[in-house]
Amino acid sequence: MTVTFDTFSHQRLAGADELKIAATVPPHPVFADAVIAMLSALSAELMRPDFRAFPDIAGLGFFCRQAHLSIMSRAYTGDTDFHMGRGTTVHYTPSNVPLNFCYSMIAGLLAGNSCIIRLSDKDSPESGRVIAVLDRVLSDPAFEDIRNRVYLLRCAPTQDNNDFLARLSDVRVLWGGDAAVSTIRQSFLKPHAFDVTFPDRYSICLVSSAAYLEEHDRKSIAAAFFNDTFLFDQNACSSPRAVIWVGAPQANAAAQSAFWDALHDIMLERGYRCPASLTFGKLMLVADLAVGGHEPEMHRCRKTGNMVISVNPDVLCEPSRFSGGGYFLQAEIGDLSQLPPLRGHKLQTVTYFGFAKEDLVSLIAVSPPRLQADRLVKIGKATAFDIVWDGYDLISQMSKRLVIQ
Amino acid sequence: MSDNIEKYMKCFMEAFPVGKDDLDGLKYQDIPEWDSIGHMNLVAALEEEFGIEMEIDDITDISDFHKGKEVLLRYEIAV
Repeated sequence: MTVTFDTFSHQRLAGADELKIAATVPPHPVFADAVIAMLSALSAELMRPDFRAFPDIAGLGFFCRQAHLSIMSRAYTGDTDFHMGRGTTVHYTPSNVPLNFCYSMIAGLLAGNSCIIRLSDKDSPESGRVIAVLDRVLSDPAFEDIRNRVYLLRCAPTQDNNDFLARLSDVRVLWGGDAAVSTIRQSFLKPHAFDVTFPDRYSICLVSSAAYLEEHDRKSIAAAFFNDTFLFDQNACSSPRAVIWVGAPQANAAAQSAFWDALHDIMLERGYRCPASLTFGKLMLVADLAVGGHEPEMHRCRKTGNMVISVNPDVLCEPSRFSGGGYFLQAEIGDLSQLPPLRGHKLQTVTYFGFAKEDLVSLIAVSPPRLQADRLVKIGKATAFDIVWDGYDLISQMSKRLVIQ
Repeated sequence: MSDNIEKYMKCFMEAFPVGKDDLDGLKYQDIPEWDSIGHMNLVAALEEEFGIEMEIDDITDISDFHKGKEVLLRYEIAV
């Protein structure tokens, strides 16, 4: 049955009083003052000491602080450029990264659009808190205009609902697994509209063993790697699932042992244990590797449940071998020229330690590329959201650049 | 100049539970409160107090109380 505004069964979480309001407001220029004022107010609320126990809430507040928005705006607000929003953006946001919905909304608003945000059914302590703060900030009469451009909701994932939301979309933003993205794309958009999709991706980490062994502050590296992975149970697309050690065999062995010991210490210090419910699945993956003749060598930390599986570098070319929840494949190579060819559209982020940027760029900027990744960032920065994500400049993608002569 | 050092110290004292006497030689991770989250609070305080917008490399360069002064010089603020 065709769903309409009157029959759309859903739960309103924050924003405009009615969906119809947010779905019909016209677009605005990018980086509008009113949007920046609202996001700055949101930032101040999220950076309050109350949220100190939630690193990703504080990080979100830091991201949308006025100074950062102002830096971002410079790329789109020069004298010769004029960028306008495209209209109504509909965002399907994922459950694996609880605050992703808010980053997606921020990008949509800054790009001059209204934002209808569909949240996953999974509630998290972080998302519940941020939704409450957002709704409170938006209820300030000073931000009424912006309030009318935002609508957060939950609804059943039915084809009828997807069809209805598709009819509202000028841009549809799809975060989630391959299956979810494919299902939602069966609901056709209006002729001028398009999708921005963020399907399944995986990420890896490259470490120079010699550089690591020379490093005195291994605890900081372990903490940074912990933040890249276990803040999201190693389930974020940008959380590394494999570590490649680059160096001589002896150095590689010594570096691995010191690295994982330091990581397990941090896990214990933070009171983090890998979800036990995933152990069986992880063991099945190891069994698959063994059956496939890859001779995996498994190390399992009893206290944390973290598993590290040594394999040949070629195994890393098969994304189906990866898992989250405390499951790292590791491989050794002598130097970067021995890197297995990591190509295709699945590799998102490469975190690195002990290499110069130029060394890694030279692996990307050759034909054919030896490394086909969208992001190269230092260890510790894997999950830091950037307005450029998966190769999309989200502001450009969700706005129009006008030609004015 | 003396005005700026007062403002600079105020930012640290807002971000962390420290007094004026604790500031000299204070380093990132010396105290539990100066962790990555405390660092964000410090940066936000400096930006607001001095009306500047700090680039990511400068943000990560503020590794101790003295280094922060060098970073502010890049924004033409002498502390």
